[in-house]
Amino acid sequence: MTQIQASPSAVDEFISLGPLVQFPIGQVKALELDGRVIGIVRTVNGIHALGNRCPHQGGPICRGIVTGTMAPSDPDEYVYEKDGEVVRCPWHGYEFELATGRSVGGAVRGRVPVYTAEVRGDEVFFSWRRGATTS
Amino acid sequence: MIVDCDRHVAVGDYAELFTHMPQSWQKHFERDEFVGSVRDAASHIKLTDRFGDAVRVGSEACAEVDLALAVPHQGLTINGWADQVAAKTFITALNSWSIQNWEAYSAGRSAILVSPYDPEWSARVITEAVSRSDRYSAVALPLSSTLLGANSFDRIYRAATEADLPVVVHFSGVEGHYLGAPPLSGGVHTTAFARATLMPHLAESSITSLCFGGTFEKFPGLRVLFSGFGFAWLPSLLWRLDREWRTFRHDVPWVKQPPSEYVLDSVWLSTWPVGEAAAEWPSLFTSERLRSRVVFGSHDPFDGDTVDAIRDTLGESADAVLGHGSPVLARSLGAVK
Repeated sequence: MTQIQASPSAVDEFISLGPLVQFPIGQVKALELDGRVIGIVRTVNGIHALGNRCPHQGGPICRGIVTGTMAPSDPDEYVYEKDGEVVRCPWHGYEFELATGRSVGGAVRGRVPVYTAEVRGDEVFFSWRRGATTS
Repeated sequence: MIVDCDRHVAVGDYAELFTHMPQSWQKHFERDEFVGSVRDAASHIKLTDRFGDAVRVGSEACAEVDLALAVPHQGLTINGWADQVAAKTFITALNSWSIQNWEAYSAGRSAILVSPYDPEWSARVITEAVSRSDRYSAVALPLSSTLLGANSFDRIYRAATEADLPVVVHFSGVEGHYLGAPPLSGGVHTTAFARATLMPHLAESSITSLCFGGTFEKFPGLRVLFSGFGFAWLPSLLWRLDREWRTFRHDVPWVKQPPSEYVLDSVWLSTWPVGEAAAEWPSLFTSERLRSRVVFGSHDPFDGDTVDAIRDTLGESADAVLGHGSPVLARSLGAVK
């Protein structure tokens, strides 16, 4: 895991996490910032930053896979959607929306912490500001 | 109001059914190979000396209740019959007999026996029965080795829902023993009492199938009563259903809310044998919504629980439980004294 010594000192302060090309699409890239693990996920639509704690039992969400999910459907039908916009916890498989941290389908209370990540030029920037995402 | 959702009604001799079937079928059945084999099959599931006693009128048995649903339990054994054509004739005769049997008593209601092996025929039986008599208050669906959440049962559920009748599931006693009836896990037990001990797992299996199969999404008005399977196991089942759904919701996206919600809206369990809850009732059934799933079912005349036994075991909840069957048998309530 990449360790980045310089962490934003204020909630709204942004620091660079490195060039965009270092963040492959569709994977959680775990980084350690000042002793705290975050996950950066680049999708075809944007970039997201997650805390490393599943609200179910504290599983390491940054070791999860990026996937889509099945939309609520009629019996015996599958409707796959949100491909690349969902992260699945490696412990119990709970799914969360990358953009909001919300549990897919309301399966579990609580959210995965979501922070702010932005792409400026060819570089990824991060802030501890909660709940915001950009595309 | 006291509503007993689990009475039993039985012919003393199978020959009593002959007048309730066409003459050609009478001649087919009128021999010891049939009468004897059915009688012997009943002996295989005999748990008490009282099993098989005729319960013809029921007015004495039902003296203390306002409404009693009787299951003609001998018909449930068709889940282990090899000849399912004959089985349909048999339960048709039982349906006719049982309604006549209970006519003398205003609180008595009967369940319509149907066949799990012919859902289309069963749907017609339900529709025709309710058009003939308002004394039918439920649909009795014997368990087969096809789980209840299978699409093949949709016709039965649709007909039951349209008739505003609950589906009653009660073991026949040949489960885990006869081919065609659902097996019990682990293997074939040699005794009826061993199989009876394990019957609750059939109800757990069926509820799980109904929830994850999406049956309650397809039929929001469906009411299902599991009768005779006990009930103390329900809280742990609901917890496990919800836990697995949270993890694997994407595998059953048609299950649009925690499975326990469907059960708490649409499934009931009868009290027999109430003794199993003697210690756990206050600590496990902690909410009114959970307690409301448990309805009085005496299981009379087979070592049944009396109203007093319910009161002794369930304490201050007992009076509510004795009346919890009202929404299950809602169609019949208007005609009750």
